[in-house]
Amino acid sequence: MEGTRKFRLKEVINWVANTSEEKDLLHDNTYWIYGLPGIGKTSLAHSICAILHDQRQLAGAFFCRRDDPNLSEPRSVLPTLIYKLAENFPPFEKLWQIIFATTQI
Amino acid sequence: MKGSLFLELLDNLPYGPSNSLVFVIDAFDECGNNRSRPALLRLLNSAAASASWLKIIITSRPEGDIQRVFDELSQSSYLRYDLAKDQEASHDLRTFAQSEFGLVAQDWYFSPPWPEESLLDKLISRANGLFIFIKTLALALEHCADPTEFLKTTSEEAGAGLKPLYRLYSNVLKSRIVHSNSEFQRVIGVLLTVAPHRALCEETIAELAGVGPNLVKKWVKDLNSLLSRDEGTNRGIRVRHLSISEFLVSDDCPYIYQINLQDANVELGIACLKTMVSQLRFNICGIEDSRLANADIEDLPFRIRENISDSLQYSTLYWSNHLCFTPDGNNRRVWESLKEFFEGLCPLFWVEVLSLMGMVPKGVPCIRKVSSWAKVSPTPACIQSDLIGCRMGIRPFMKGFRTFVVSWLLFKPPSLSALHTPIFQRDPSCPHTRLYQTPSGRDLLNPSRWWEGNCRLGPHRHWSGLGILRVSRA
Repeated sequence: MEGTRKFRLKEVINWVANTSEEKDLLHDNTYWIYGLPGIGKTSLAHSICAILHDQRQLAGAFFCRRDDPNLSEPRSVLPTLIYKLAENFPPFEKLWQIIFATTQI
Repeated sequence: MKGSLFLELLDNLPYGPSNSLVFVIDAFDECGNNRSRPALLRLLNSAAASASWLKIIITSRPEGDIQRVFDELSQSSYLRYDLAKDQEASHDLRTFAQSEFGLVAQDWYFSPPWPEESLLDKLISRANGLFIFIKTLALALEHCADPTEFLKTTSEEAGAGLKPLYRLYSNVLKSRIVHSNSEFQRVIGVLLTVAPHRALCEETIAELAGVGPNLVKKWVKDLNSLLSRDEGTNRGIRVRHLSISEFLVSDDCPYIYQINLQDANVELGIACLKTMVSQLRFNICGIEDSRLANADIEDLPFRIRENISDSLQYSTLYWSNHLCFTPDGNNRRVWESLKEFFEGLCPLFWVEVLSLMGMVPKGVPCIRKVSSWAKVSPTPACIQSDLIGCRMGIRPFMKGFRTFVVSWLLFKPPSLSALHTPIFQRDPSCPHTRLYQTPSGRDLLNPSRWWEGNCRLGPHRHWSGLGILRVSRA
């Protein structure tokens, strides 16, 4: 659905660009978008992902689907995201490998 | 990876990326359940709060459990946005509708503007902001006898929230499915109940629903606005949108199309058992030497495809999920099908098929599920006297022994002489008296590992009678 929700999309992208430097403060780093089924959440999420991907700011995405066992499993959400993050941000991958090397016997 | 470890990793990162990185999670309400979601959501939020460069976007329905987690969180740690309040939405919806209907108009050689402005206005207001409404409508028009009339009927269905959408789904069904309502219900019943496990293609749906494949294909084509093919997995058929399955099981769905999930599951469970009873057989893949491990059979995937039908593959994996869907069903047909399955050699052949597919670990919870279901389910009087107990299991017999026990006698054997049928005798010459073997004693310590690849019924071994020991004690 190209060309829809342009304003909302812009708001979200602006929010992503807006980083707070103060480490101690709580950040409003989570954005919850909600609405009735069929209102266009998934379509908006796709548009957001496309833009963030182009800007190289998409660390990872997970599109849940109730009727797909792999996509409705909460235990696979975090590992998928972490794996993607490691792919997109090498220092994270390095640290991950170090920690795994020391914790695994 | 544990969530706490992830947080620790984030804390220990020497530096973050120069631009923020974002996780996007769509349709979070479609993941897990109201017990598993909150913990994950809290963890995600703390991850985003602990690393200033990490941002998380979550979309979902306003479900109670998700709402509660956000209500508990500090207001400053997140943003929330209700899409229904989106000012530009109705404008967007209009643009979207115009482009979708424009394509329909082209198809039908309607001269623009079609539909007329006033009709379009009405339709937009019926949509209540739901894009899926317009999308479904446009798809339904493709197969419609009179698009303008269909739009007019649809525009008259007023109501709040999801009501007009559900009315639209009803109208699509009414216009497309005229005959064979019980067969239609069986087909949709299979389609909805298999969905959480694996989408199936038309032929397999037809087989499990006991309906001709041509009928299923026709309906899938006719209901193009509600159903679609999942090109990814097995080219199975799925509903286009979750709201369609929710509609089909709700009271908003006309009675003749409505699906009762409990009944549909029981029916499918019985169909799975029947499929297994009729298709399972000794050495189903025709493997020449039973001592070969799965990994050593080069053309195993080909043999599986050729010899184990899709309906059998599905049935062996998920029969217990469907059968035990109703926690304490009192259904004579279920018990009779169970009896039929467990009285023969099917359980052994079943384990063999699981092994060939590398799915034996799935068999264990399957048996457990049936066992505990059988304990709480009222047994019909005609079967009660035959019920021995629920002693079923797949387990290694003893450490160091190269054998494991498949014990499955749920029912009393038809006669005492059944106890002396070849399967229970120490008769190495009988082809059925095979034993599951493990490659080495060491692997026994890790049962799930050898189960996956290496159980096979072999003619050179005999059924040691361990199974009978277990049963006769019961």
